[in-house]
Amino acid sequence: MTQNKWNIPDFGFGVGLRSVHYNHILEHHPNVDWFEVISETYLESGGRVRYVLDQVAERYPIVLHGVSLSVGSSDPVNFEYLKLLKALADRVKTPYISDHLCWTGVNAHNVHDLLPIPYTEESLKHIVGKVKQVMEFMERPLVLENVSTYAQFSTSTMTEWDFHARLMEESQCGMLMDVNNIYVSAYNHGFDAKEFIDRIDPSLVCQYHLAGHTNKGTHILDTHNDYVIDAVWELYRYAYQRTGGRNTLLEWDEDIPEFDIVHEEALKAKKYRNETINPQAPRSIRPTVAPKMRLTPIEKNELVNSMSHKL
Amino acid sequence: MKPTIPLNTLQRWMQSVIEHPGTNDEAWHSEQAVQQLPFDTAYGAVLPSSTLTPVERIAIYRRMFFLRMTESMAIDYPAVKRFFGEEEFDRIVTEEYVQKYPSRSYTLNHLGRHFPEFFRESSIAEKEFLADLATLELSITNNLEAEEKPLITQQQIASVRADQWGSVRLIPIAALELLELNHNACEFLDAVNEETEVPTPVRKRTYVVVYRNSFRSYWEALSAQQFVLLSSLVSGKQFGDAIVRLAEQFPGTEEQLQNDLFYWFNEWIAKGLFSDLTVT
Repeated sequence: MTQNKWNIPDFGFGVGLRSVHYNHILEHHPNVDWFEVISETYLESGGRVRYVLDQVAERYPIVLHGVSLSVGSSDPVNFEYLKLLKALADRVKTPYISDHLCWTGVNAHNVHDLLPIPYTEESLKHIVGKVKQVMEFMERPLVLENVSTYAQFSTSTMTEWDFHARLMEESQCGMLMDVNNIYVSAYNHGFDAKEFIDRIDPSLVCQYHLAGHTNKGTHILDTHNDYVIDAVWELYRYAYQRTGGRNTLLEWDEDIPEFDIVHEEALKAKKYRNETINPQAPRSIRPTVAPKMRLTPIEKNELVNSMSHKL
Repeated sequence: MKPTIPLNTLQRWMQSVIEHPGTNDEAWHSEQAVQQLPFDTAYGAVLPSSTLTPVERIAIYRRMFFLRMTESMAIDYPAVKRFFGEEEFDRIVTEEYVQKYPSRSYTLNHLGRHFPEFFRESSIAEKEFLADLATLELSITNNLEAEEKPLITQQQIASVRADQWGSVRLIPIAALELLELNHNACEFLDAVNEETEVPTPVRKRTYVVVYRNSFRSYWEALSAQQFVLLSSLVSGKQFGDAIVRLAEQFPGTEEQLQNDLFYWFNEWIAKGLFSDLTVT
């Protein structure tokens, strides 16, 4: 157990704010510790989503989670985007902002996906510079999430976890540790998920993400469309024992069920926080759970945060 | 010794493959991709997994890209999608629209902003109708994002003396747009919305107001006279000048004009089209 470097408070167990749950949340004010919101949904909207966000921010802590910072892109920092993000951050009083260690486009395009970067010295130097620019402009800690990836590059000269560790050391950003993404990438690339966790300085981990995924046999897709599988919960327990109190959030972006089901799934994390590691648990676990279906419409920016199971 | 490929080159290559609308083979061998990395170099730059080849691994991102593009456009343009059918709509979006107008925004909410001009510039037989239909659907989408403002109150209206009404200026809500269309796009959209049989596209001068009330967007056809009056008010004309302009074009009697004016004005106030008024 260790304090995070920025003394970011542990809000507890949060849920991603999704448009299908707006009415439920405004009517019932569920007893949720905090909400994470997809920044891009709220940056310029003056309609209902802005109204809902203001209402939610009055009652709950809010953390902004972006999908378009594209810190890994060889393009320069987009300060027009950052201006909007900073205004929103001030509005909801987020203690930090998070996004992903990835790129979403180059040459000013946005393919709206969380694309893998080559783990090279050139990438590291470039991203460290961008992260510093972002943090200086935002005047808040920046916390970057490890993404699920489906491809790796032969040009990489270091592992993903070593890259993330060095990035944090050299830029002073934090990490949003998505244990489902670690599990997905470990499956897709054949590495040991626990080695990833072991190599990250626990004091630099600011938050956890949990989510469901879809196993296609040849690979796993980070679909956010289901319950968290047991093996990912075990990874969460393993990681949590190293860090102690950190904000923990459940993401559910496709086939989103009723709010209470999502919230209940998030609260399962309590159980795993307080239990000791099962010494019999295998170090690398491959899932076999089939996804459950519950179709609901989703807001467009929510599409970005998931890899569709329709593939 | 690891091969070295500059970050920018690798990313331009990968993006060109992801965005290419053809097969995997066509995408990897496309001019844009090969300009960045020859096929063999690119193939060697992406590691295979124990179950997938480099081409299959990048194909996951390619499929996801086109799925996101089509899903996002389908949310904004259900009537255009109905016109084409799902398969052709998806083809137009992926093979033509996003090739010409790739997303350059932080949000997918902006992806469809060029759809009306895309149709105008196209060679599709019904392009003028489709431009109108896309204009209407885009207006509805944009309407959802406009700034929310408080509505004008009955007290404000009651506070205006009878002799002041000629110089009143009404301030419209931000979430209001007036459209002049040349086809029956509004009827087509109504049919899609009501899940009834859609009409055959025909030329038809149509006036539409798109507005929001209690965070819901509405659209409805206006008569030519309603459009003249409402567009005058929305553009900031004084109430008296707006009535004079309407009277010049009004086909009925003065009594009918007064009756219609009273009815329309009260209806627009009730629907929440105005947020404030000033008396000059």
